[in-house]
Amino acid sequence: MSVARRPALGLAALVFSGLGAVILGACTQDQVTVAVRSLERSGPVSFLCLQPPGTLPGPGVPQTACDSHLADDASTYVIDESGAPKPHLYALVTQTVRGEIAVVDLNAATGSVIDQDPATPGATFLPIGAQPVDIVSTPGSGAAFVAVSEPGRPAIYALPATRVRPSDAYATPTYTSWPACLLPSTPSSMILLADPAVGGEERASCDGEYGEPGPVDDRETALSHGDLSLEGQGRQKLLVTLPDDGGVAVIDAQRLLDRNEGTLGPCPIDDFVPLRVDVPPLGGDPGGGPTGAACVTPPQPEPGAAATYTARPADLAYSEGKLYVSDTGAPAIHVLDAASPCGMSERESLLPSSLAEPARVVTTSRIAVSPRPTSDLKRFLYAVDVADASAMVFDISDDAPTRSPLARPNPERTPWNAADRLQFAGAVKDIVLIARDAAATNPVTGAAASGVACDPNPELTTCSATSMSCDEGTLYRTSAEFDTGAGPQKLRGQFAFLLLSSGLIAIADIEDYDAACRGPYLPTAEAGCATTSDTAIASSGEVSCNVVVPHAPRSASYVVTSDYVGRRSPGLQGYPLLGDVNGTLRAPTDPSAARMRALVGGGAESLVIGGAAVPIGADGLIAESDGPRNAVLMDVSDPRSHIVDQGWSLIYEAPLPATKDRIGDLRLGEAGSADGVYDATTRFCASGVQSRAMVRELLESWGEPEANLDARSLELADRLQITAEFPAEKNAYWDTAGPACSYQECQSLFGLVTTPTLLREIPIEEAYEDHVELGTAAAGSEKVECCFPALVTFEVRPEGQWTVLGDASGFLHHVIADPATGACRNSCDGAVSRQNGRVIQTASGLALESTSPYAFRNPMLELSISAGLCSADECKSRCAEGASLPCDVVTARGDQFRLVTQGAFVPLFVDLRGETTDVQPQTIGFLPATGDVTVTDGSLEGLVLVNPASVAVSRKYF
Amino acid sequence: MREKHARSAATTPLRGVRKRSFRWAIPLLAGAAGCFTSSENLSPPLTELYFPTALVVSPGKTALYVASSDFDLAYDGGTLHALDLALVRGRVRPIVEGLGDGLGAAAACAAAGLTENRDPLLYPGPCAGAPLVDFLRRTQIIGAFASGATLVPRTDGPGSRLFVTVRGDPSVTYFDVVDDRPERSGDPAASPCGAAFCLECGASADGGRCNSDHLVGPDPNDNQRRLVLPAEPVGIAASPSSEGDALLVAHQTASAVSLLVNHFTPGQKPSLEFYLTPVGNAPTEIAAVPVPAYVEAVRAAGTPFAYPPGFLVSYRGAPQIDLIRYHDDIEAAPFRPFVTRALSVGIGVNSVGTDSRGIVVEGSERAACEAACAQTDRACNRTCLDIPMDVYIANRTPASLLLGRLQTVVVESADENGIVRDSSAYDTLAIYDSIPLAFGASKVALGHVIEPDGSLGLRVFTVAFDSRFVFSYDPAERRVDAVIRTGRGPHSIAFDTGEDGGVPYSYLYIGHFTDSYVGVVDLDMRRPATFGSLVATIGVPNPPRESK
Repeated sequence: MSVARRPALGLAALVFSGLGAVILGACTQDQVTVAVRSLERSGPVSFLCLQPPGTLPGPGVPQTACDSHLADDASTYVIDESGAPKPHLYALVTQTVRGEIAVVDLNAATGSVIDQDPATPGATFLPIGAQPVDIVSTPGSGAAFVAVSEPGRPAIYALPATRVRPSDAYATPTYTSWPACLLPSTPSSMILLADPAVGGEERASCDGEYGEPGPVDDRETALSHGDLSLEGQGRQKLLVTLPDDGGVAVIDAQRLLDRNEGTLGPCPIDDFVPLRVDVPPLGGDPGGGPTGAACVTPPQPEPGAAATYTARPADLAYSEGKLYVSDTGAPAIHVLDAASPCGMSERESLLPSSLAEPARVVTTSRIAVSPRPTSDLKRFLYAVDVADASAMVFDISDDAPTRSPLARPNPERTPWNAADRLQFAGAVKDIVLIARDAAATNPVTGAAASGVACDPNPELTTCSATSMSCDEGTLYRTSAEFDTGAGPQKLRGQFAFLLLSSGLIAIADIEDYDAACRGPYLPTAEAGCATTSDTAIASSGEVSCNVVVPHAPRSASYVVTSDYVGRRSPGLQGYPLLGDVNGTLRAPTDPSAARMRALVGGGAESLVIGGAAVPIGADGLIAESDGPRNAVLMDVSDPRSHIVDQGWSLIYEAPLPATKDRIGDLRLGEAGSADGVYDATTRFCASGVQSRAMVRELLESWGEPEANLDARSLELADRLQITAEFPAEKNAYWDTAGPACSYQECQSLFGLVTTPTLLREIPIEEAYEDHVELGTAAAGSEKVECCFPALVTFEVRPEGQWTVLGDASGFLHHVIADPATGACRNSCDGAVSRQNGRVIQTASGLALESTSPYAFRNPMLELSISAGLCSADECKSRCAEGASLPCDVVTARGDQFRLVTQGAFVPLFVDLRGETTDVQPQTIGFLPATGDVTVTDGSLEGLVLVNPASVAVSRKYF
Repeated sequence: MREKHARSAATTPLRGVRKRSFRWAIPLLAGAAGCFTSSENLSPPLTELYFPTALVVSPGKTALYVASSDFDLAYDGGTLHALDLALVRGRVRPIVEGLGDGLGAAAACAAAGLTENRDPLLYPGPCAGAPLVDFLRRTQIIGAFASGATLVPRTDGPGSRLFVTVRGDPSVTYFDVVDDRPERSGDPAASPCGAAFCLECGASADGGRCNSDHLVGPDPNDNQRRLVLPAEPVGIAASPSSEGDALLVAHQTASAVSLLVNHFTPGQKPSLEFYLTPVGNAPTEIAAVPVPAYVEAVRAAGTPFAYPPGFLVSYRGAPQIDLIRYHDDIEAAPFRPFVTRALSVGIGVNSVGTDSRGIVVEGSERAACEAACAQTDRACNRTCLDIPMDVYIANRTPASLLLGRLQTVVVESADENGIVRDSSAYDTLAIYDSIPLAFGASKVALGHVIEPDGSLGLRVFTVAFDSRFVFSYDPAERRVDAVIRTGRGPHSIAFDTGEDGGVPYSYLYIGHFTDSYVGVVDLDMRRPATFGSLVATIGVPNPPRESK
C-alpha cells in the first residue's frame, strides 16, 4: 500500500544526447556519439534518511530508520505496519566538475535522480561552490555539510534536510541558498564528531559552559535551518583537515547551520589542532640486511638525518575514541585522543614505511579503520600509499607490537607483492572495512547467534532438527557439495574492500569466521599448516591451510579439485611433454629422453593432473602402465603463489628474454675498456645474466669440489651470442678490412644469423648492469672484431641449463647488481629467493631431494631434470672415449618441456565494469541502513551499490 | 687496439655503413600521404585562424606561434601565424583589471577597445573577439593538417627553430624564428630576418608558401638512408644533444616513430635520420626526458658515461608508454643516428589503458636541485638524481590523467682496473594512479598559476576536447583544483607567465579548433573574479561551415 504525499516530481532526467564529436583524425574516422548521463565525475557521497516533506519538527531521522524498500517513485511513501510513512534514504553525491550535489532517492523504483528544477531541461542539482572535496551528514539526518576547495573561496556549505528536495516552499536553490562559511585554507577531508553532553547539557563551544547559549554573530539566526540538538547525539562538531595550515579545524555544526543564507563570512572555528610530525629517521641499516653464501645484500640506504616535515593532513578516520589523520606531507599517520572533539591531543603517530624502499618517505591519502575488534581484540587501519597507490595495514590495537605496516609471513611464497603491501594492477583509490555476518539458525534453539566461528573439530556434535543440543560452530562447515557453509563468497567476519582505479573492488580478509573450516582434511606442513595432524578434521578439504589469510586477497573459489567446484587446486592440465626444437614430441616411454622429476623427500606425494590426483613415485616420476611420466611438485603452501594459469616452457639453453635483440657496442682490445659488450639500456643484472664468476661462487657454495670449479663454472656460464649479420658481401667495407678477415672467412667461421656456428657465442666472465666482460672468443678477438665491427645485436643464453619461461610470469630470477662492486649476483633477500628460472640438468636417472642445492624451486613449481639414458652400446662406446657421464644423452639446444598449469589463485573482485569500461571509481563506503557497500564513479556510473551478501553490484544510480 | 673517438672518415670511411647491419632488417615504410586532398589555388586566409591545432609561446614570451590546419580542406594549405604577445597582453590586462575591480563586462571590454561579447553561446568570455590582425606580425603558408609543433632553441649560441608536423605533406616543416631568450637579447644573430618577428621557411615573402627546403621528410634524397617520412606525423618533441638536436616524431597510422636531427650549422638543414617500426599501435604524442646535469658533469670530467637522450611515447591503440632512446652513433663515420626502444611500461591503472594522448615530463624539482649545484660538481648533481620526475598522460578512455614517475638509476661497475665507478644510468617508469577527467581528454601541458600569495604554482593542465574543459591539476595537493570552461573544441594550449611592467601575470592560451580562435584564460588566483575563466578572445570566432 502506498500513498502519494506530495506533488509529483518531474521525471528525474536521464539525458542521452548525441554529441557529434569533432575528431582530429584522418578522414576515415567516424564520428563518435557519446551518451551523457545525469551524474558525471561523482565524488564523495553522504546520506540522509528523511521523512516526507513537511514532517515536524524536521524530516530528518537516523539512518537506521531507513531500509532498502522500494516505493514507486520519489514522491511515493510506503506506509509501514504502524500506519506511518516509511522514510526514504537519499544519497547526496558531489559532482566535482559542476560544483553541485546530486540528490538520489535510493528508495524510488523510478526517477531516483531528483531534478530540483523540472522546468529546466536536464537534471538540475543543488549548486554549491566549485571543487567539492567531502560531504558528511549528521547522525539524525538533520543536515549535510559539503567542504569545497574552490580557488579563492574554500568553504563549507550546509544543506539543511528541509532543502535537499524540491519544494513549493522554496525557490530552486542557487549558489547562495545555503548557510555557508569561508575556511582559512582549502579543506581536504571532513568528519562529524559529537562533543558529548554532560548531565544532559551540551556546550555550544569548546570553551563554553554546558547549558549556556553559545556565541552568535550577526550572520547567524539561531535554529533557522534546524536544531541538531534534537538528534540527541551531543553537540556536533565538524572536523576539517586543512593541509596548508597543517592541522584539523573544529567547527560547530549548529552555528554553521544557523548562518544566514547568502553570507559567506569566516567559519566559526571552535578549535584548531596543529599536527606535529615526530618520526624517526628513515633509511636502512648499512651494516644489516640479509646475508648468505654466494649472494649479495641488497642496497641498504644510510639512515637519513632526522628530517623536518610539515604536516599536510588529508583523510580522517575515527575509532574507539581515537582520530586518525593521514598525511600527504610526512611519513606519519597522526593519532589523536578524541573522546571529545574539544581538546584533542596527539599521541605517537603510526609510521608508514616501505620494506622494499626503506629510505622512501611514505605518505598516505585514504585511510579506513576496523568497525569493531576482531575475536582476539585486534583493530586495524588500512592506508593508501600515495606514491605507489598500494595499501598498508597497521595494527592499531592497544597492544600493537609495532607502529609500522604489518609484514606478511613467508613473503618468498608470493614475491609478486611487497611483503608489507597489498598491491594490485590498479591503484587503490579508497578503502572501507566492513563487518558482517550471515548467521545460521540453530535448529535446536531457533536462534541465530552472530559472530560464531566455524569449527572443524570432528568431535563436535553437529546440529540437526532432531538434536537435543549441538555445537553451533558446526553449522558453518562446508557442505559435501560445496553449496552451503564456509565458502569463498560467504563473507562472515571483517573484510577490507579496496576500490581500484581499474574498475574493480578487491576484497581482503581481516577475520573470516569460517577460516578454520577452509583447509585440508589432514593438516600438513606442505599445505602450509602451522600445526600438523594425523586426524582428519571436518574442513572443506581444500589443499592449503592458507586459503584464508588475514590482510591478503580473498580467494574467489574453493581451492580444491572436485566435481562440484571444478579444477581449482594447483595442478597440471596434463603430463609435462618433451619435444625438440621443432616441436616434435618425444615418446614418454623413451628412456633416452630427458626426464622432468618432482623433488622427492619433501613429504608431498601427489600431483593433480587434469581432474585427479596421481601419486608421485620415489623416483620423482609418475608411474603409468606403459612407463613413467614426467612430474613436478606444485607448491600449495600459499595458493596465492599461483598467480595465473599459464603455459610453461623449459627450454634447453634458451636465450634470456630480456636480452633478445639488444644492440650493444662490442669492444675488444680497446684501451680504457675491458673486453666486452656495452649497452646502457639492456640492464644485464635485471635480465638475470649469470657470469662465470657468479656461477663459480654458486658452485662453491653448493659444495662443488675446488678442483672442478674452473671447468664447471665455464660449462655453466652464460654466453653472449652475436646475432648481427656481417656487412653485405659486396659492401666496400671488405675492401678495407685488410687481411684480418674476409666476408667468406667470417661466414665460414661464424655462419649467418640463420645458421650460426658456436663461434658466435662467447662466455661471459663478469656481468654488470650496463656491460658484460667477455672471455676468450673461440675464434679469437681479432676475428670477432673484424667480422662484427662496433655495434652488434646480441642475446644472452644460459649454457648447459634449462631456461624456465612462464607465458605470463616470464623468466624469474633474483640477480641484482652488487652494491659494492656493481657485478651481477643473486640477492640474499629471502623474499625473492624463489624467483628462479634455471634448471641445471642432473645425471640420468637421478631424482633430487628437495634439499639439494641443484633442486629447482620457484613459487609455483618444484622439480629437477635428469638427462636421458643412452643405450647400452652407446654407453659403452662413450665410456671408452672417456666421457664423464657416458650414459647420459647429450641434450640438444632447443629441447623443451611444455606443461600447462591450472588451478591458479583467483582473487575475489567485484567488477564494476559490467555495462561499460568507462568506469573510474573514486570513493567507497558502507551504508548500514541497507547493508550495501557504496561506490561513486568519476566517469558516468554515478552511485553504485554493491551487496556484500552476493558480492555483486546490486543497483546503480546515474 | 682501436681508437673510436678520433677516427676520421678518411681512415674508416664505411664505419657507419658497417654499423647499420642491424638496421637493414627494419622494413622501410612508404611515405604515403593518405587520403588527403586540398582545394587547389585557393590560398588560406592570412589574417584569420582556421582550425588551429598547435600553439607555441617563444621562450622570451614575445611571440605566440599558431598553426592552422585547414581541417576541412577549404584551402590549399594551412598557415603559421606569429602573433605579438606584448600586444596580446596589452589587450588582456585592462580586461582582467577591470573585471577584478568590479567593472561590468561592457566597461572592462571597452577599456581594451572591445565590445561586449554578443554571442556567448558561440564562445565564452566577456568581450567580443579581437581581430587577429591586431596582433599579427608574420604569416606563412604550410601544408594542410598541421598537427603539432615544438620550438628548439640553439644551445651553443643564438638561434631558434620552430618545427611543425604536417600530416598533409607529410612533413616536418621548419622555420627559423627569432631567438628571444633574454640572454640573446641584442645579438644580431638572434633574428634570422633582422626583424623582431620572423618566420623564415624559404617563402618568397610574408604570406608566401614555405619552400621544399624547409620540409623534412618528403624527399628521400635529403637523408643518408634515403628515407621518406612515414604518414601521419603528429606528436613531436626535441632533446638537445652535443651532436645535434634529436627530434622524435610520432606517426599515428604507421606504428612508427621517426628521428630527425637538427643542426644549426649554416648550410646543414635538419634531416630525417631513421624511423623505428613497429612500435606500439598508433603512437600519438611524445615528451622528451630531461638529461640529468650529472651526466654532463661526469662527461665534462672526461669520463665516459652512457645515458642516451630519451623520449616517452604515448599510444592511441596500445595500453603502454615506451621509452625511446636516441643514439647519436658518433663513433661512426659518417655517423648515422638511430633510436631504440629501451623500455615499455603497461598502463593498468584505469579500466582500459589504451588511447593515451598528451604526455609530459615534469622535472622541476630535480632541475631546481641541479640549478643549485655547480655544473661540474658531480657529487652535488648526483644527489639530484635521487629526485624522481613526474610523468602525466592524458588518457581518453576512460577520460583520465595518468600519473607516473620516472626514476633515474646510476649504474656502478668496475673498470678494467677493477675500480668501481659510475658508468651509466637508466630510467625506470611506473604509472601508478589516475585522476578522472571529463570526456575527450587530449593534450596535457605544464603551466603556472599565480598563487594567492603571489608565488608561482605548478599545475598540470589537461584539455578535454569533447566536453570543453581544461582541468588544472595541482601536483602538490594531488587533486584537480580548477576546471576551466572553454569554448568549442579546445585543442592546443600554451602558457605565458612572467612580469609585465613589474606586474606578474600568467595566461593560458587555448586554441579553439572548432570555432578558430585563441582564448585567453587568466591564471592569477589573486583575482577570483577572473581566475580560471576565459577573459579574452584572439581572433573573431568563426564556426565551421556545417554549423553556420
